[in-house]
Amino acid sequence: MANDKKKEKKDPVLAIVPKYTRGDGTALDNVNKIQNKKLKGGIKRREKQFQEAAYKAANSELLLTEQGGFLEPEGIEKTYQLTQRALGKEVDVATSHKMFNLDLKFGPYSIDYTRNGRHLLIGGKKGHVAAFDWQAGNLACELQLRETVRDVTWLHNETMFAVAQKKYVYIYDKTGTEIHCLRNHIEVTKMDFLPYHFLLTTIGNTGYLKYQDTSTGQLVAEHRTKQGKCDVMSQNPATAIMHLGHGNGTVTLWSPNMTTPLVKMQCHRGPVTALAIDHAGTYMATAGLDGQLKLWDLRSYKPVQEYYTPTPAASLSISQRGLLGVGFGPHVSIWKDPFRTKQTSPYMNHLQPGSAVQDVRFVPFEDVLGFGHRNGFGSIIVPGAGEPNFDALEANPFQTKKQRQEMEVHSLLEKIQPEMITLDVGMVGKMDKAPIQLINKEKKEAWAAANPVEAKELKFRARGKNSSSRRHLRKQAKNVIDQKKVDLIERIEKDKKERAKRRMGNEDEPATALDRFSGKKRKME
Amino acid sequence: MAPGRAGPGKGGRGGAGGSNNNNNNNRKPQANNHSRKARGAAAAASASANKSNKSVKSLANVYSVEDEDESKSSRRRKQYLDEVDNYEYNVDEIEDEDDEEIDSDEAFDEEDEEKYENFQFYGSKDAGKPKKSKKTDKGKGKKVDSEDEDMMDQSESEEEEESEEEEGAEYMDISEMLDQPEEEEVALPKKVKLAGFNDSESEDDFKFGDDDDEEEEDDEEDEDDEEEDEAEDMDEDEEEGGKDLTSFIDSLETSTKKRKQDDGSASTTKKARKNLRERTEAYDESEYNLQAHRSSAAHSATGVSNKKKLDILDLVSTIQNEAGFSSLKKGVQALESGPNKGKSVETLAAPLPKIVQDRLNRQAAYDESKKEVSKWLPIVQKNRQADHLAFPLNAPAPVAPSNAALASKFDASTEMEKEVEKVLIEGGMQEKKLMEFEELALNKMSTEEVEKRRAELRQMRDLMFRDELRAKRVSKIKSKLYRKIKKKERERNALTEEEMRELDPEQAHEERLFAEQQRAQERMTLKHKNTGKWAKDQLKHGNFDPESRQAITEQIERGDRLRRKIQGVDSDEEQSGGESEYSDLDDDDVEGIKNRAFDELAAVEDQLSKAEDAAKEAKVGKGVFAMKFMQDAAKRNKLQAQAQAEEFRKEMMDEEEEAAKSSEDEWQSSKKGKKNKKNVAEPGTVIGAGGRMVFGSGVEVPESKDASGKAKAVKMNSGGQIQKVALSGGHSTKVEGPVNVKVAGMKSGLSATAPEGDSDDGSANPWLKTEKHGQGKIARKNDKGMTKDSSKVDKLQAKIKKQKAEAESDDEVQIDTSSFLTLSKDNQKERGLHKDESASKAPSTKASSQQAKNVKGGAKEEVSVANDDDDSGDEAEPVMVHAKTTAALSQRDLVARAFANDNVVSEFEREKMETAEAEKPKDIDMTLPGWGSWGGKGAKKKKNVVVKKAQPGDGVEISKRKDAKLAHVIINEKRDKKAAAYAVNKIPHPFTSWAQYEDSLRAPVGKEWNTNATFQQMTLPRITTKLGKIIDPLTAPFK
Repeated sequence: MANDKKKEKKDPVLAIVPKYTRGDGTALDNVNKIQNKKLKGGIKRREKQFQEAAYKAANSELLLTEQGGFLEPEGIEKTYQLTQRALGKEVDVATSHKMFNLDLKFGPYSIDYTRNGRHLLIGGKKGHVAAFDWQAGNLACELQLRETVRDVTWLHNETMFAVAQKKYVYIYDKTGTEIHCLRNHIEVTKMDFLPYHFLLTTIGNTGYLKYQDTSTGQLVAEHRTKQGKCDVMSQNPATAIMHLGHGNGTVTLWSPNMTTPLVKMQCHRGPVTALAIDHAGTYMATAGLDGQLKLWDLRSYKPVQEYYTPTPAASLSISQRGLLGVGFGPHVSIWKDPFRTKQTSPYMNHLQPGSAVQDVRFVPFEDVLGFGHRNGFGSIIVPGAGEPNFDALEANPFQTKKQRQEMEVHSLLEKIQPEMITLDVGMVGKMDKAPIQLINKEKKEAWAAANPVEAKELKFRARGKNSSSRRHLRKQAKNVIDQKKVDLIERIEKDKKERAKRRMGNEDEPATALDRFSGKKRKME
Repeated sequence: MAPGRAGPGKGGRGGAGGSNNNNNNNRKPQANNHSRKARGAAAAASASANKSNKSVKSLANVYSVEDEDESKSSRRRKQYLDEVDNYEYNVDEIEDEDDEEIDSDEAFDEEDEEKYENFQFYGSKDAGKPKKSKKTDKGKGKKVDSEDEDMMDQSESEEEEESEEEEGAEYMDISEMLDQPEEEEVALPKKVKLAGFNDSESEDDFKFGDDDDEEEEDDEEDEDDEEEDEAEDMDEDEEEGGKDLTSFIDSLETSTKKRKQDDGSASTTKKARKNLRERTEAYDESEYNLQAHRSSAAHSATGVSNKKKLDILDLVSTIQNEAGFSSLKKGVQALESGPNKGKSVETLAAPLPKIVQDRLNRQAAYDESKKEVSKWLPIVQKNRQADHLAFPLNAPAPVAPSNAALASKFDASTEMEKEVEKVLIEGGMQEKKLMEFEELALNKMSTEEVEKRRAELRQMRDLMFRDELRAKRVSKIKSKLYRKIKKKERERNALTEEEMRELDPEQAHEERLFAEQQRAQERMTLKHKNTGKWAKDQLKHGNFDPESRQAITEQIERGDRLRRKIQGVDSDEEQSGGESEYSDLDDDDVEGIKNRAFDELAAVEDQLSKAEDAAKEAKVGKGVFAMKFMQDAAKRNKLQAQAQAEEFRKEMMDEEEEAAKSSEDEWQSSKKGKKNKKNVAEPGTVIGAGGRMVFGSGVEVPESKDASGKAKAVKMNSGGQIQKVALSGGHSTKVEGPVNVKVAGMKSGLSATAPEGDSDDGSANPWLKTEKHGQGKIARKNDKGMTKDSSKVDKLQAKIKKQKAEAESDDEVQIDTSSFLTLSKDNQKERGLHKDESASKAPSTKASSQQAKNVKGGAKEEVSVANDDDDSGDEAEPVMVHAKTTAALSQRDLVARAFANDNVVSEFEREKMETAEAEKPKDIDMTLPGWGSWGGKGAKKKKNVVVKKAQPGDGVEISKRKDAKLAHVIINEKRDKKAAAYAVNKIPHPFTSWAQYEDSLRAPVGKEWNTNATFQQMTLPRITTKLGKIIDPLTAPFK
């Protein structure tokens, strides 16, 4: 052990390795008791491979050249006293350009950033929608929809976005052309997009949570929440579970597989107003009309910290590096490390005077926080918010068009099935812990469903329809005409007429009024 | 073969023949032992077909019989074998007594002796055999001996001992002999016989020595004797020829007559006699009448082959003295001598049955091929164990071109290269020239120097090489023992704990902690896994047993639950600000110690407040803790703890203050430049209104200075603790006084207002509070000096108090709502947070409340105004921490506003209970009421009630629910069927337990989580082939 310790000290990489190991397997504990040599060898080899993989991953951290940092106060300085104006003077020009405010008239704005943080989509309640590369300042499209816009969201990349309008959800491309109208989604208040599953999720006034596959167009699932109107929704980026905040203070967790919520938590005593989940999916922040801001540990479903907001928070966001942004009233306050320790003061503050903040979002891979408010859109600098090192294969802020196209194809090929959305991330391939009876029963049911016993069609055999001559005719090839067949047809016709005659009596005789009682049908000309 | 066939032919004749047969059958192994002889006989028999089958059969039969009691029959046999050709003797009808009568000893009476004076006995040549001499008649024995010796002189002088050794050649020789040309037929008949006899004898020896037990030796001896006797008879015949023939026949006839007397049937004997006559033709004993001999030999060969004693040597011996045959002699010698004499006998052995032979062949072939195949084992094993095989195997790695090679091949092709080359040439930087220059430089050095340098270099290289080799060798040692020893050595050399402590106590401490942590982890991870004996057994066998499966599943689940619990606990620890935060602080850092102490205090107080919260929650419900005396007791305990904590803090603060004061001055001076204490109060705002009130009330500069100093002291502590300070109502009242006094009096103030303060502690959820909470609030309000409002509030509180404990928080809130609305508005204004709204409302608020506000309120107004002026400048941060003083009221307001009639918590609880109830396993009574039972008076209850028992998987017990211990959470226990399609039902091959299998899945393989190299390595197929490359068959290194 002492040796290990020394080694650890010698090799700085070893200190990082635990970050990359996926738990220490228990298999190695009893490996020497395994009789099967092949298995034993396999396990040993695999464990070694895992260790090596972890070490190499740790070793490759030296490729992460960028380092994140926070505001460091000196002496009696306080970070929350630092205004954006003061900060703007200190930062470089390029960064100071990221600090701006758009004065727009079309009233509270909801916003969304693409996964690489490069593109911004804003939607004003009064119908104004604009998509642009906010860093370069290139406007992709700007629309005035002339109807209520409740929410906007990007789809898998910046070429498409969805807008929740007055009645339906519409999908537009980057030029602003309407591509789809999703009539299944009615009066949607909140939307989100699951990038790995290509699922657009919506919730609205009807209280139905809907999952629509944007690659195939199928409506994957539709769950009735039974909680009435809902306008608080957020996805867990780690598990793709959707979290909904309801009017009775509960937060429900949903997957497309289950028609009932996976978990239901009583988080607040008033309606939940905002909800955010951190990048790793371990912490959740909820805000309610009761003025509380609670932080939860999603592993144990227990509250970790409780804060309050002077006015109920309208929007929450958690940055890649764990900063919590809270929009309440005209304020945006940012809290550093709020989960693990009880903070007494915020990290940063911002006031948007005279305009209530509607939607707060941290920009991925940028130290920037954007927020839509009543009078437009604001962007402020929050040092230390974004992840400094990006994975170009995952989300590349500098991606070219070609890369984007390639990425699109790749992500479509690697699309995950919606059934895989579960609370337990590592569920796939694991043991099914259900009792064997249940499993067997399910198997039986599945088999029965796959092999339905077809009910035999009842044959209605009308009398006289199956005479030998008819059968003979039936059996002949339809398109071949021979003399025999012709004769047969003629004969049948003749017989038919004769029968009718016999039945109806003489056609030549005029019809009498009493014929109607004869029970025989007679053609009335 | 022969015995088998002989059986039925003679069965009818009964008597001795039958017994012989039986014996024969019984002693089959022995018969086999003699099979060589028999086989030879059989071969000869088949060769000459003129003899009757019957005689052959009987011969073979007789020959193979070797019982002790059949000395006579064997004698008979010998007679045949010895070509006496008196076939009548082999007739089976011969009785034992008759047999005895014709015992050779007896038959050979004195008359005969006289007759056969010159007869030479075979077999008596072995002078060393005492038994033979013994058994032969005394007088005769001598004769024989002498004669033998004569013979030895005659024949064996040339043959030496060959006669004994050449058993192998004899059979061959017979057949060969038959075909031999005239010139070779020169052997003396005497010698032939002699050799033959010897052969038979020696062969017998050989047989018995080879195969039989010692018991058999007696037999052998008997046989030998008999053989001798018979040989005598035979030889007499042959030797005397026609001369003595008649007398011999007479004697034979007498014996046959004797036999006839007993035997009824004489036909066969007569026939045999006839043969005898034919056979007893005499021929001259010479090397030239071999022809005659041969015919007899051939004749006898049909009967008994092995008594055909002709031999190549016999033939060759005649030419010994003649010149010109030396080569032939040599060849013959080569034939007869040599190690494979015995084998040559076997060459004649009849082939084994095909099955047996094939089996033997297969065995031999298998052994061979096994040997061959085993050579491949190592390489095959290596390939099997290899992670990856790239075909073609052992392909030479593409040689990376060396710099030198590249340089030598380099040819400037592009313009730029040409240009560069030109420049280089101009500058004299060509490779060749440089080389020359180097050489010149070397030349300039004296040879000694060069030598020395070279030697140095060589030594260096040598050392390096050696070291490298050594390292390689050591690293390759696989011996566990070696490693063990090495390890021991290392451990011996390593420092002990005590030594370490002496040298570097910090390090030692660290090591110890590390070790302990490791141990703890070990202990933690070992438990609640399927490592128990039972579980393992079950996993091995009982996978299909539903019960055990259920049990194991439960076990796993328990493990999971525990792990989850551990995680939960961990996060709790984290939230309470564990020691980990400070672990990086130096121990000698006083500041750190203090901080830690304060934090601990805060933690203790947190705990206390939490406990109270819990108590209050409990109060809402029922239980022991809801009872009054329990609460009182708890309160008392808490008070004590708080008092102690406070005391401790006071001590700490006293110390700190002195330190702080020194730094205070400059801090204050810098602060003075700015407007006022509002700025000073940075965290003070967080701390609560208490701190602010100090400044508000005592506007005087000196006091504020003191106060700020105090504030600073407070600031240095962490939030939780400060909260506590601010919480105490007494504290805020005392603040008015000088700082020192205040700090000192803090404790008293606390204790005085302790009951109210307590309730304040737990005011995180103000709507949850009962009257106690209200009291706390009142106290605080009183502190603030809002006299008018306070009276109102007092009344209200009194009202609330009147209500019973059953009054829930919501009710309270409802009541408060109306009364507190004004208050809350004021409060909002005070805090100046909502400028938009409050600014307009401020003038319209009640004058009374305005007046009632103390100086502090005024100050706040100022602040807010200032903020309005420059909002980009300093603004009081919106505080979101539960600072009980200011927050509580506004929260009350919020709560009141938000849920007038809501009862969400109890609704949730009810829902949870219903869900749990619905999902718990239930037995279903399947009986139909009224069916199969009687009604009316005196009707008995139905006995056979059909109850459908709950099956495993039908539901979850309430106590086993995942949310059993989480009051505010409902976790869905339904089965996710869609996801179950992605789970596994059976342990995949080759794993033997779930743990093994799931471990193998735990690390991701994708390139999103791994470095590229790892990803490629992990996903590399086991076998890769190069397109278009011929894959040669495996070549083994041993070739």
